[in-house]
Amino acid sequence: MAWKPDPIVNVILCFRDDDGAESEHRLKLPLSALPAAEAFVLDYASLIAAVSDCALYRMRTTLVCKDDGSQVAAVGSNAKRQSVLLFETESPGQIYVIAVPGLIVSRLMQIGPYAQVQLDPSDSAISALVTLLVNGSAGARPVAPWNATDGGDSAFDWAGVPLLRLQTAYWGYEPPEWQ
Amino acid sequence: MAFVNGAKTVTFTFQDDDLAQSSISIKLTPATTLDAAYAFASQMVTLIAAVSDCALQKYSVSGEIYDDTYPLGAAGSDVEDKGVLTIRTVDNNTTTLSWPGIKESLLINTITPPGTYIDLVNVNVAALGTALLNGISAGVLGIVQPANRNGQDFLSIKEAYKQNRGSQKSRQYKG
Repeated sequence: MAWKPDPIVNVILCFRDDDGAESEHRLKLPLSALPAAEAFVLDYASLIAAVSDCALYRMRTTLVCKDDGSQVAAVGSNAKRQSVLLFETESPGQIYVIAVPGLIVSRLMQIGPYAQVQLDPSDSAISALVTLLVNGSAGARPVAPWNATDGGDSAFDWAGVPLLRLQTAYWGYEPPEWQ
Repeated sequence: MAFVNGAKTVTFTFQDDDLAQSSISIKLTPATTLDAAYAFASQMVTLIAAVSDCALQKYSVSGEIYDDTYPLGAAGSDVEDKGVLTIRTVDNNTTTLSWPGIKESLLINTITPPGTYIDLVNVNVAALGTALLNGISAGVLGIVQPANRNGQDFLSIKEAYKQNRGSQKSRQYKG
């Protein structure tokens, strides 16, 4: 596997007029600018807003990395068959779901009442993924996208609730409604 | 304007042997830097590929800053009235930038056709041009200079005008 980042970072600034119609201004930054991209965008926002009578309401910065083509899907693979991971969060009683497309059947329990249904939590690949999702890496921690206090799935204004531990994992078909 | 940091989102896109695609997004706290999110995604890529029999095609890291008051534009504003800059780049190419809602007060009425060309010496337009051509200082992180699709710097503004044209808008992310 060889991953190559795009040579540019995409910046999209979203505007809205008085009718509520929306449109975008798109700008590109060199990859080397990634660490400073957000600082740039904030400064740039005031400059572009000064030449527009529409309201600038959102700025998005995105970097894409692509495989060099070495990745090949297994014969019979199905993107709708998913490894569904249910996490307890630091908000008691609130579960967060992460569903990874493309199930590997050998990672399912092979014996017991949940054989061929439940993912084997002792499987090394499963446990390594779960560990990273729960602990994160330096300066980056996955969260459930809501506030600990309201528990709602609001689109904006949330601080996020860290994942606590894997509750259960099984295979599912089709994206669940709550995704 | 009251801009606040939104979440960082890491998205992984898979493809099966029928070429059907499916994606998964993982949210990181709003305080996460893009750099840290990229490092996380780079670590995650091997682990998530190991639990899927689909081919992991690409992944992306994105961050959002938004105005939590969800404002409307000024009275009479129109997102399809674009300000357009045609820009030469150092690799001897030309690229075009446009932005929605060019202010009428920035247009020149004394040349023909009136109300078409943008006044490049206007202080706000000049400031935007300087930022595009020379970049903006990000303190200790250095100067950030916009580029074309090939990552090449902008060299000069060739033309600036108003054009009424359709809008592009990418899919909105949830959350």
